[in-house]
Order: sequence, then C-alpha cells, then structure tokens
Amino acid sequence: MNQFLPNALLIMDREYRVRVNSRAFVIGTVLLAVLLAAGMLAPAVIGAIARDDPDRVAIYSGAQLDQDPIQAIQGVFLGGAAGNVSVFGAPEAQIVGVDDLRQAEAQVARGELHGLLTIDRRSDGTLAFRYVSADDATDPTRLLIQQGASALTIADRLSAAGLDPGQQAGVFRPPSFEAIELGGDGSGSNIYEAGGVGVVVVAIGLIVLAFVAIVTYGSWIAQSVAEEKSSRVMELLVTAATPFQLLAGKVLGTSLAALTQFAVVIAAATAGYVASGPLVQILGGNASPIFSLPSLSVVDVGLFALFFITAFLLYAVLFAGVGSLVSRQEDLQQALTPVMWLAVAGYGVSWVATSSLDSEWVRIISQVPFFSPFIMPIRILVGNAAAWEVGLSLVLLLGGTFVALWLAARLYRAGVLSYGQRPGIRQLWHAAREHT
Amino acid sequence: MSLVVDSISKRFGEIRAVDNVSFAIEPGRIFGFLGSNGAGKTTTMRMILDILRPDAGSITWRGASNTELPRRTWGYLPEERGLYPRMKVVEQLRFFAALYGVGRRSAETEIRYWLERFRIPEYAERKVEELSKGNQQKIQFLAAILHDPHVLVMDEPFSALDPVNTRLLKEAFLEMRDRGKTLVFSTHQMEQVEELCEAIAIIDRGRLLVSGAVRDVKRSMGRRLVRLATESQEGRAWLPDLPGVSLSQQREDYAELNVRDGIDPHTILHATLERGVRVTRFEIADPSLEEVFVEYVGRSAVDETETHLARAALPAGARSVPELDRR
Repeated sequence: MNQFLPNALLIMDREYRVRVNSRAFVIGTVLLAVLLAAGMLAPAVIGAIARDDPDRVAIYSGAQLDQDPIQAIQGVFLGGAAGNVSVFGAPEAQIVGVDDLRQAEAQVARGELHGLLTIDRRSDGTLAFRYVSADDATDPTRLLIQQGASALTIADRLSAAGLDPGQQAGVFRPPSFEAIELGGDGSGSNIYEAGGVGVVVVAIGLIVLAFVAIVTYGSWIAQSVAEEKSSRVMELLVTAATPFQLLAGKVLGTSLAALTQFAVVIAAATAGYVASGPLVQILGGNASPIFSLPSLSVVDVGLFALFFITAFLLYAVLFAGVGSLVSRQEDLQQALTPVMWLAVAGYGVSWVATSSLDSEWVRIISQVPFFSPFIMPIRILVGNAAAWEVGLSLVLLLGGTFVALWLAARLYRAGVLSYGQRPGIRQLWHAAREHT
Repeated sequence: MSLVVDSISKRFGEIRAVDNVSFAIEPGRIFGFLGSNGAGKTTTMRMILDILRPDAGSITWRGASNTELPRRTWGYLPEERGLYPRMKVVEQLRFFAALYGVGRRSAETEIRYWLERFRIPEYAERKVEELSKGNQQKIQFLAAILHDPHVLVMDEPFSALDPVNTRLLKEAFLEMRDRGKTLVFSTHQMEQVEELCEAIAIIDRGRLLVSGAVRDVKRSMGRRLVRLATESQEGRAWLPDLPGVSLSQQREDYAELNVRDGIDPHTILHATLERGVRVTRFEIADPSLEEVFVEYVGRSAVDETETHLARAALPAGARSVPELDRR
C-alpha cells in the first residue's frame, strides 16, 4: 500500500485520456449535448409554430340569438384552460362566422376549415346544433364546442324565460368555493402533487440520470477491465501496481471522463433551458417558460450530488470487480447481468415509490444502499425525509461503498489472472482471502 | 545471496501445477527454465513475481521474501504478450516506466537508447497494434527492463522471433547480464539455452527433475559422447563391443557413441588405431541439452504429439532411457 497515490493517479490519468480521446466519447458527448439542448428548446419552437396557425372553426347561424355565438364560443376556448380540459391539452381555435353554408361545408371536407357548427332554431323554439368535423368523441376541440353550445342554449332559455343579460351574468357568476387539503405541511407523498411540473421534472431527472450514469459508465469500467485482461496487459500491470491501485485508478479515471461528459451535457441542457425563455418571446409564443424549476437549497443540491457520486462509486467498483472475472469480452455482458439487474431494480422501485413516498416500505428501502440513491434524493426533494433518515441512509451508502471496494479489490486480485476457468464463488472467496 | 525457490507448491483445484519445487539461481547469471507446455513454468514464474502465492514453500531474493520486496526488483516478460494495442509505443513505455517510479527524463533516455539498439526508433510514435509480432516482442522486453530491475523473469522470450530479432534479443540479454542483472527465462528451444545459460532447471508436470549448472546437469547423465569418423565405414562395426561403450547414432559421416562414466574415451581412439583404421575425426562431448531433456522428461520438449504416449508409458517422475535411434 506504500506509494498508493502515484500509481493510482498514473492509471487514472491514462484511463481518462484514453477514454476522452476516443471517437465514441467525443461523438456521444456532442450528440447528447445537442439532443438535450434541442429538447429544451423544442417546446418553445413547437408552441410558436402551433400558435401561428390555430384551427379555424366556422359558425353558420340560421337562428336569431341575443348573444353573439362567435364571441360566446371563442370565449369558451379562451377560458378553456381554466375549465374541464387540462393545461397541456387546451386546444386553440379561431372562431369565424360564415354566410355561405355550402361553401363552408366544402371547405371542411377539403380540410381548409377544422370544423363547421350550424345553429338552427326548430319550430318548437329550441336550438339545434350540428357540428361537422374530423374530430372524434374525445377531441378537446369538439368538447369545447359542445360546451359552448350548452352555454348558448342555457343563455337562450334564460332569455326566453325573461332574464336580461345583466341578470344572466349574476346566474353564471362562479360560486365561492374553498378547498382545504388535509395533511398539508408543505411536504408531499407524491411527486405529482408536491409542487407542479418542476418537481416532477427534477425528480424524474434525478432517477433517470442516476440510472443512466450507473449503467453507461459502469459498463465502461467493466469493459475497460475486461479489455486489459483479454489483451493480457493485466499480467504486466499486476506486477507493476497493486490491485487496489489498479481498481482505484480505473474507477476514478472513468468517473472523471463520465463527469466531463455530464458537465458538457448538463451545460448544454441548462443553456437550452435558459435560452428557451427569450426564444419564446422572440417567437411570440406564451411568455412563461415550459416549466419552472422548484427552488432548491444549496444543502439539497449538495445532498443530491453526494448521493449521486457515492452511488456511482458503489456501482462502479462492483462493475470493475465483475469485469475482472471474465476472460473474454464476449462473456462480459452475461457476467454483468446481476449488477445490471440491481441497478434496474433500484430504478424500477424508485418509479413505484414516486407515488407513495411516505409509505412504510419506501421508508425502509430508502435506507438500503443499492436503492437509496434512487429514492432518497426524491424524498429530500418533496421534503418528506427527516434529517436522521437522510443521515442514516448516507452513512449506510458510504459503508456499503467501502465494503464493495474492499470486496472488489480482492475479486480483482483473484480474478485478473484466472484466465480460462470461470471461478466459482468458493474459489473466489478462497483466492480473495489468500491475499489479505 | 541468490534467488532461492524453496519447496513451493501450488494447486488449482485438482491439478497440482507445481509440486514441491526447489532450486537456486546465482545472481548475475542467466538461468534457463526448461519444460514442455503445461509443465508448471509459468506458474512458478508468477509465484516468483508474487502474482500468485504458493500454497506452501517460500521464495527469497538475497535473503528477503519476495512478498516484501519492492515491485521494481522484478522485470517481467509474460508469455502472452500484453500491451495496450491502441497506445503509442513511447507513451506505453513511459506509462510502465512511471508505474515503476522511474523519473521522466531517465525513462526518456533509456527508451531512446533501446529503440535505437533494437533498430526500431522510427516506431516510437506508432500504435503497438501496427507493429509486427517481432517488434511488439521487443517493446514488451523494453517494458520489462526500463525500470532497471535486479531480476528479469521472462516467459518464452524467443517464441515467434525471426533469426535477426533473436540475435538482437540475445545480445540484449548479455548486456543485461554484464550490467549485473540476474536473468531467468523459460523456453523449450534448447539452442538458446546452450548458448546463453550457465545453469538450468528442468521441470515436468509440476515436478523438478533436475537443476544446477549446465555442465553438472549434463554430467549427471553418467555418460559422455564420442564422435568418431574413419576412412571406411566397415571399420566401426566392432565399436559397441568395447566395455562401457554403446552406439548412439550411426550416421553416414560419423558414428556417435555413448561412453559410460569411468571409461576413458581415449580407449576408443586407441582401439581404433590399433586395428589399423585411419581416424579422420575424434571428438569428446557432453550430451546435448536436447538429449538431456529427452532423457529426463521422457519426451522431447518440442514434440508435443508424443506427450500422451510418453505419459502412459512412464511412471511419473521416473528417469528413463530414451529410445535411441538405431539403424
């Protein structure tokens, strides 16, 4: 163990440079950065494009009405966001009046008009609406038109009953309605109710980021170890450096390369997010950004980083240990499967947990090292984790990482030279104990 | 005062890879480690380098256990060549030199010197995978010596080398020896051993059959060779009738005779001359290492096809008289 650092740093340095200079790394990083930046900008652009060309719905009124049907229905569309239809689904439409029914019908048939609403008054005095369009029964535009039709009908009936428009406004005034949410101490048990789209985006971002990083960069490490073994450099390396130096150097070098890629990609995504605000204004769309980030304290962000890095190291050393056990590249994927499943389990469980963050099993599982890095950050995010829970989880995770490091260094020593034979657990244990 | 391998054993599962092997190597000499494939040479070398730990026994260099010696004591040329295929030659050599703690500048000087010596300075900036097998081999050798190790352990260093590169490597061996290094190499090419080694060990199926100075090992055969050529071939037929003499090979150009220890080879010459036969060649020699090997192991080091036959025919570790070629 004497002179641990120089060799570990040398190995780290080599690993980092080889990785970062590889064509796959450069292409992958650029591609990811472009994709993420584009993804951040896309909603603004799409929004602007969609706004330029709202659907046109024509109204042909063959009935005498107190209220202007065009204004009334356009009003339903403008207020629609607050109504029955969700924010994201609110359709936009420009309501126009037409005088030539035949021409309008032809335009609908040709797709030049989105739809055509005809209003007639039957002989018994009631209003009859007919809507022609390609919309199916669940189409939001059709639903809003229908809503408008009901409003018009009610207004018409009220007029017939003798209520003037001023009185009608009184009838339609919204009720005084106060909703009280129980258990509301600001924390949530569910990311979807905890604080809007921003929390959901950040929570999902944390889970996906951790998973992708662990699986992608973990595979890099395992592959790099297996490569050294199959090219037989390993035999030379183990005479020049200790297994621990090799393991540490490799994990750190790859982690730095991963961090480099992450930094570039996140910088691109942030730039895209920041630029999307002004872009929306330039393009003349909705002035508010696609979502607003929840306000996070420095402590929170620091904790996220701590969980992320520790978890990454935990998985990384396992990947390295497993990589050292295979003698041929072709066997690598198979050997990695158990570790991969561990990560997939953590990932999957955290998805289930996002909707029941205060249940007992989530509390327990967020203390388990392999799962905690996926779940605990989200509990911190929605604010339902007690300080002691966070602390304990972190301590357990760190402890688990050290155990994994100890184990992997021994696996490494036993595995690196066992060419050909596939060592069983007992042989590995034996070999591992041999070199204490 | 030397490299001492003391009763080491190593088993992998049911296989005894190395079984109670002991030998000693004098410092500043070249030592040959002979055995067929799978005899336990590589395992023994890995144990010397402390890559593997023996199940029993110990290894010391100048009195210190090999588990406690600094890593740069050793230089290692593994049998399976191992370099980073996509790394440039110089970068690779710098990397390994640095791992052993060699300063940048002295590493640089040594790299230039050796690339020049091996006649490959123009390959310095090339990737290793672009080099021929022979040149990769030379780079592998450099990776083993740049840190100026006391003991060089080399597993089959001459395999896959053409005659020119073999010559260059041999010269490098001699230079390392002259610098006071101890060299250990395994091989089954007896030619190199005859030329370079002062002492040898022969190992077979994990067991040491014999070790010591080449001359002593040859003498341990209990016989010497006489090569005798006469003007007429008829004049040799009676030779095997002499006491302690047997015919080893009857060739067109000369007869090769085994002479048991205790018999003066000159009696053959006297007897021949007494019969009035004219002698054109008379030579006394020790058996070749090839013969020594065959006799100890029961089969040729290179002739792997006969391995199974030989194994079936001989009890383990038994000394055997080889089937000599009689015409």
